[in-house]
Amino acid sequence: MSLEAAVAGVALIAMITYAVLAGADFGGGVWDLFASGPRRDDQRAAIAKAMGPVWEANHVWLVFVIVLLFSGFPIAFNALSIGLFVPFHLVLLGIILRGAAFVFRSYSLRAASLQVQQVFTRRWGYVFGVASVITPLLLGMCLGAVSSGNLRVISGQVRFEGGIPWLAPISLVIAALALALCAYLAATYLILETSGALREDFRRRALYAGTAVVALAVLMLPLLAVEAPHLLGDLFQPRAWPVLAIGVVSALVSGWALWQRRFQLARVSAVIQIVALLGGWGLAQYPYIIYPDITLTNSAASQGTLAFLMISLPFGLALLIPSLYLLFRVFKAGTLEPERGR
Amino acid sequence: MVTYQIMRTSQGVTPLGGVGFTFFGFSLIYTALGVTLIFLLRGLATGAPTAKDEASHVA
Repeated sequence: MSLEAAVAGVALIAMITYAVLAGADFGGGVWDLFASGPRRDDQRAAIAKAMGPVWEANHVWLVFVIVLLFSGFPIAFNALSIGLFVPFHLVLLGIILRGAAFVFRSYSLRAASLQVQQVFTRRWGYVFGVASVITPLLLGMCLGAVSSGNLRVISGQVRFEGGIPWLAPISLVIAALALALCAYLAATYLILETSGALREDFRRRALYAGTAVVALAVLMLPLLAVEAPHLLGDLFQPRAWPVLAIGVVSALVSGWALWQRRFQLARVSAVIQIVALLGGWGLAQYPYIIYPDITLTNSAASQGTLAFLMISLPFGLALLIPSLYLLFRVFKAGTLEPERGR
Repeated sequence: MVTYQIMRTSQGVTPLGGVGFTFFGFSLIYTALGVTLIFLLRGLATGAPTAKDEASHVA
């Protein structure tokens, strides 16, 4: 395996990890925004409790991807930061506002009247929810833009082909799929963090989101055939078959498990589904970073830089993984304990 | 300088317009969030402990 492929592989794994962990956080925000019914406040409390102190740490994976991209593939980074200037800045804005709003909402304004407190909580809650919906949509749009072939880099100049690439129909469908997957993942996590009627609320929400995921995936196939036949072709080539098969099977298992109330299985297979989907995308996209002009090879830094990245990686991970393990262990252990006894 | 003697800031800046808008926009947002945070922290602050608090804490 070439050094370029190794660094890109690590970046893909980091991306998948981000999707699985932060995706559920975005999804939690989505369900916060759409909290409804008699247990609306309980739903929000369960979401806040589940996300708690670990969720900001999940952005470490996004930072990791960005660092790998600008140190390993500076030419691709340059093109992306020009071509996707607007959505990237909006993603940044979304992440900033989400973080701030989540924390601000839970502060109580002691000095203020109860009414002012309620308005304050509601407004910041709204900011949190809206930012949680918009951010994964934008990330999905960016993924669509680099895959569809509408973002061109010709002799170092970034060009748009046929309209704004991140607003092309294919990008919008990928965006909707990303949002539905986040919502689905979050609901399957939340089922396991709640009980009784609240658990039923989240089961129903998981079923809605799961239906949306399937509908959007079905809608995407003909759209891919028309707008990005290369991607569809690469997705159905033999090397991607196992990943594709795992994706489809885990999606079906997840839906069935949800229906049968085997919630642990539903969650595990929902995670596998997302891993397979993004892994499959990675295989289809290979060897491109921005199809069809920017490849791993023509945008890579020098071999020395790539080698240094790979050598320093274990040291970085040796620091990061135990820290994250400890963080999850300390703050999430309380909710995991009762399940073990069941 | 972005990189000393290699690349000037003017050579490194994005060719897109709207740099001023994003710069001042984000500055404004961070300022607003900072001000909100100060208000919230002031709301949480209960004041310095009195001599009585200190005494009861020791006991």
